[in-house]
Amino acid sequence: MGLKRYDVVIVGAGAAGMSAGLLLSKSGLKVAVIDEQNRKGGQILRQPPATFYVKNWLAGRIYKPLKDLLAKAEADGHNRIEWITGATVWGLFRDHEELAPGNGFRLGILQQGRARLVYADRVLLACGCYEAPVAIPGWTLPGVMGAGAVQTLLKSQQVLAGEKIVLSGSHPLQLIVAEQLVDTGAHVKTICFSQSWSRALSVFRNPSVLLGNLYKFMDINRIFVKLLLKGVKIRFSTAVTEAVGENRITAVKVDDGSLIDCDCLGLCYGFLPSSELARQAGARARWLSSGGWGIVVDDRFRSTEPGLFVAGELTGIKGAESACVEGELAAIGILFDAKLNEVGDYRKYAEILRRKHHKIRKFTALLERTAGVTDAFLLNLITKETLLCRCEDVSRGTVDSVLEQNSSIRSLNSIKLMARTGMGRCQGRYCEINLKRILSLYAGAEKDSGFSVQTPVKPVPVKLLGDL
Amino acid sequence: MGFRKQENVTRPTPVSVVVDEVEISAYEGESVAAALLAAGILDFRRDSNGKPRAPFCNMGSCFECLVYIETSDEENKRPDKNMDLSWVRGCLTSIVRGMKIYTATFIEGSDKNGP
Repeated sequence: MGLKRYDVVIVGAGAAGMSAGLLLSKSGLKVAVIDEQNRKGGQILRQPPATFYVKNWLAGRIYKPLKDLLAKAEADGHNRIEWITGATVWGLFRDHEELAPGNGFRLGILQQGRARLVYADRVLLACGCYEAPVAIPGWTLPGVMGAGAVQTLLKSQQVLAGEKIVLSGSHPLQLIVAEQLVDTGAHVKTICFSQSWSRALSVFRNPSVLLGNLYKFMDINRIFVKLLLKGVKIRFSTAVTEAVGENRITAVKVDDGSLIDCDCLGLCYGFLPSSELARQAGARARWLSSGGWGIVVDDRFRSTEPGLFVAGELTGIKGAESACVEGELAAIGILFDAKLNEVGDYRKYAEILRRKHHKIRKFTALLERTAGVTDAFLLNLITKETLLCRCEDVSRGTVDSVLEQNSSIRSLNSIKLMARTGMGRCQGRYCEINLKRILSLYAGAEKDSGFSVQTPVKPVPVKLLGDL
Repeated sequence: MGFRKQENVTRPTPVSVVVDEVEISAYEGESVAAALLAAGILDFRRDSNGKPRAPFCNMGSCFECLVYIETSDEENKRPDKNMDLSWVRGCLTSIVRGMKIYTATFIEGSDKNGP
């Protein structure tokens, strides 16, 4: 079979994938970078359509280093790297024909209505993350989205998701999204932070991290003041507890019982790694304290599967700056693995990267302590009637009664079989974490390994697989 | 409901596409999901309770924005259907002039055959 062959295939053209690709391409390796989006940049730099011209696109200071990286990637054209965009990787398989088992992979790709396979000696998964789904009553109403969805609609499509917007969550991204919305003239009515004011301020009690990341803190302060001056209400120890409306959201209910009328709610409680492909391929994962399955890697960003490298948010949510560093470290790891780095060309550079990584980790650990929410808090938001599984319309009440009536059912996979949660098109991405929280209320659920990840990791029309 | 930002954006000349047999104006390259939202369409599919759903993640993970597009690919034409529909994620699919798009709500509420 005439499979297209690469030395390295990178999945994800975001901060980690671009960084790794650019470094690897210098070594003369044949590299492909695959991304589901039509343009490179990842979620942090979701580009406008190529047919649009946007003046001052993402002018904020936080985007500067990433935009420089993107410019380098764009300047590559297809010279040294093959950029395969608009393509979904739906499976990652060990190759048993071309090489001895344990070497090399086949990747199943869906692009423009066609399925195909490509071959790679080594694979780097840099698939990024998605927004942590927080189920509240009414969260399936049109107009309720992840705050990141509100943001990508704006930064990429140049579309405002609503006229009267409310944001609710615990993550400081809310402030950045709100600023971008306000800058375009949108009416952000209220931002609810679930944590207390004093907990949010606790970041300032860590002088070493504060000084090391001064510009980030200054930026957050500047945005905070700007939003207040623009009349945006910023509330602490408060959360939206319900989205209200018949066929679309018309208001939100806040935990003090008051209603705020709006046509858009952005939920913003942090992120989960998009680690399905890595887990499907057999890489060991651990449940992160911030939620979601992080992939276990060593200091060269090797997963437990030989030849399979992982970088960026898949190893734990640490943001785009960290993803850039991890992408380069993983690329160096790949060169070492391919015995192309024996002379230690990158030894010094790797040291610099490791120090930088260490510094960023301190910052993200602090952020996690400040922005993290407890399972008890999130469970409290999920009423009996709240849909846990958006695809199969399964409510918490249904899941509770399955667990109450069957003492033998104490795993996510068995709940799935009984209640259909996780059987829909999103394949459990939007219910697993909340089911895990509910299961944790019952004895014996602590070590649950989550839903088994199956190929295809995203739905593929069967008729297309017939072509393979 | 979405609103196209006008300031600092230059879009190409608008094209017309057909959504649920109604012509709307959109821009080539724009995502199908954004075009539908900007046209005031907030009913992409219905859940089992008959309630409308619309895009949630805008990044290809949630599958709430699934729409059907008519393909002119001869190879895929089946004799029992007078047209061929492929499902796609609206947030990942770019608008092309003349595109025929159907929401799941429309497909399920009509006699058209889904794939």
